[in-house]
Amino acid sequence: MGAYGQRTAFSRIVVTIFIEAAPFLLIGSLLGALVEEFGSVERMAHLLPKNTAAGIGLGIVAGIGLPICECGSVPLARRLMRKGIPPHVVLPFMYAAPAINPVVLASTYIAFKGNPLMVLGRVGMILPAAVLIGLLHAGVRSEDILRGQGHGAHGHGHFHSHEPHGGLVARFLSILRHMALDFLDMGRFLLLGAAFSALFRILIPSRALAPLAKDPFHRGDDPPRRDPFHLLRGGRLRGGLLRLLPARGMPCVPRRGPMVDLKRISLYGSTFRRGTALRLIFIPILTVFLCAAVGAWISGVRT
Amino acid sequence: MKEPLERLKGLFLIAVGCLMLVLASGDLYLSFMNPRFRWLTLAAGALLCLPGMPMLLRPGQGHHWSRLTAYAPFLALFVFSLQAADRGRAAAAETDPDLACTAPQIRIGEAVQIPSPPGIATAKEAAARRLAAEKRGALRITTAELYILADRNDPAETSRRYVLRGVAVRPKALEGSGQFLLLRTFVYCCSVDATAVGFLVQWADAAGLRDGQWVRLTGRLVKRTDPGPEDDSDLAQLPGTYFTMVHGTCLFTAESVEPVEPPEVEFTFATNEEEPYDY
Repeated sequence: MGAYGQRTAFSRIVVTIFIEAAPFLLIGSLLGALVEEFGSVERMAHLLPKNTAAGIGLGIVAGIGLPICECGSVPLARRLMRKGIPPHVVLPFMYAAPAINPVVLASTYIAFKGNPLMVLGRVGMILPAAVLIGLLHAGVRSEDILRGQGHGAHGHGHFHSHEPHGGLVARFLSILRHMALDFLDMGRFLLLGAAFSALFRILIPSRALAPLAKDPFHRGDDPPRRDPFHLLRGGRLRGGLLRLLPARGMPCVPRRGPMVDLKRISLYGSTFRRGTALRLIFIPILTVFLCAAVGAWISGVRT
Repeated sequence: MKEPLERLKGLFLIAVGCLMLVLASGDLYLSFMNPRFRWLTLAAGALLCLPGMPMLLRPGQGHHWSRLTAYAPFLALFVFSLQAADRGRAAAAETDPDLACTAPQIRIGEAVQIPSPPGIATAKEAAARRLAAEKRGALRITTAELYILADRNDPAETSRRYVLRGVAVRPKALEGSGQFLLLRTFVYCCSVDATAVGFLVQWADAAGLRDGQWVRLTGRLVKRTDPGPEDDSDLAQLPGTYFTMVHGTCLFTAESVEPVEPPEVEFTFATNEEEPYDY
């Protein structure tokens, strides 16, 4: 493409990613605003288990029970932590909510022609990341990992929460305001992430990815590359990337994707301090890779 | 003193909400998203305008003015939207000499007016053959839907006659083979996942076709004997797509090929797995 074509393609990708993700970011911001308005620190603290493992489990179960998109889970997680829910509960929730809620599990089941192993594989690859991120943040305070400049911190870098007050109209307006400010706060980073994604698409042609997609675990003469697409039901024709990948690499995309991608990296960077943001980025990459590698090795041994 | 900033944020929200409403309300939406998500974008646009109003009319305490620069990405969004919306100019995009050897550049949206080359049936003849085939039960279908049928490998379906529309692509690898690719851009969710989906087509006069020509084919599927390309995206790529998927086991043998005008919406969105199919 020429310079003009590339600019247009870039713009189109950025706008597309934004209008695709904005509704979900808005839902997350709305849920966060409801937490801010109606959530009581004392009540929440009372409901939380004292035990770290139980807290991690609660975060994962809450994530499974609350179908929320990957973009929406970040502002909601921030609100929950600002309300005093500890990171070892919230961060596993943030990983689990977009990745293993009933909606995506059902979609996975349908997309992969009713193959329960793909559903179990999805859960099995995401849980280690959720547990590990929870364990790494056991005993850590929210204010030590969150950036202090967000709207929820009122611009002066410390944390406090307000008990609900005012009449119905005042509370309604307060919810709208919290939602709006969270959306603006996170939306700009969503746009930055979208710009990075667009740059990636423009600068790296798909054929450049092909050499990276060789299957190191493949044995035998038959080419494995066509296998993954045939696992998919026709309705999932968006399998271009999956088609490029070796059969054993393909399952990693829907597992790792909801936990970390370019736009979510941008959201992590805006919400969390550097160390936590890096952990949030690299833990899913590492755990999903290891799970896939072990799975591939086991299946290779079997065949 | 900080109230004006709060008002500005309200204005920002209303502007972003209105932008989403505008993008979602016309045909332009099809350049970005599958139309089945139109309601979601409209709802989000309306919901964004809602909090903007009170912030604009009854502002609370905002942040310091210096934080205004943080909202610059939203200004960029408006610029990007204007540029992305300019479909006419996009269609006139330059071609990339680097890609020309393996990836023919087809200008989506450009009306192709070419005379029928020698060897290709005249439009009248081709139309007559197609109509005759349709009378015999040829089914109109999109390349993406036929791809799914071909994957099912059900003889009752694969033995039928089909009518397809798409872009004819003749990569160098197919020169002299009497074959060309018929591709059409399929959008599952949004334009970011736009994929060129199609078939290798057997047609004796394939050499007379021009890259980027919109054609209507009538014919049927047969099994491919060749293993297919290692990477379809390396074989051909349509503008706006990142991947190309050419069916690996079935080939389309054409009975008639007729040049046609590009359809109003070049993308296809539906993946019906039974009749009625899209076209």
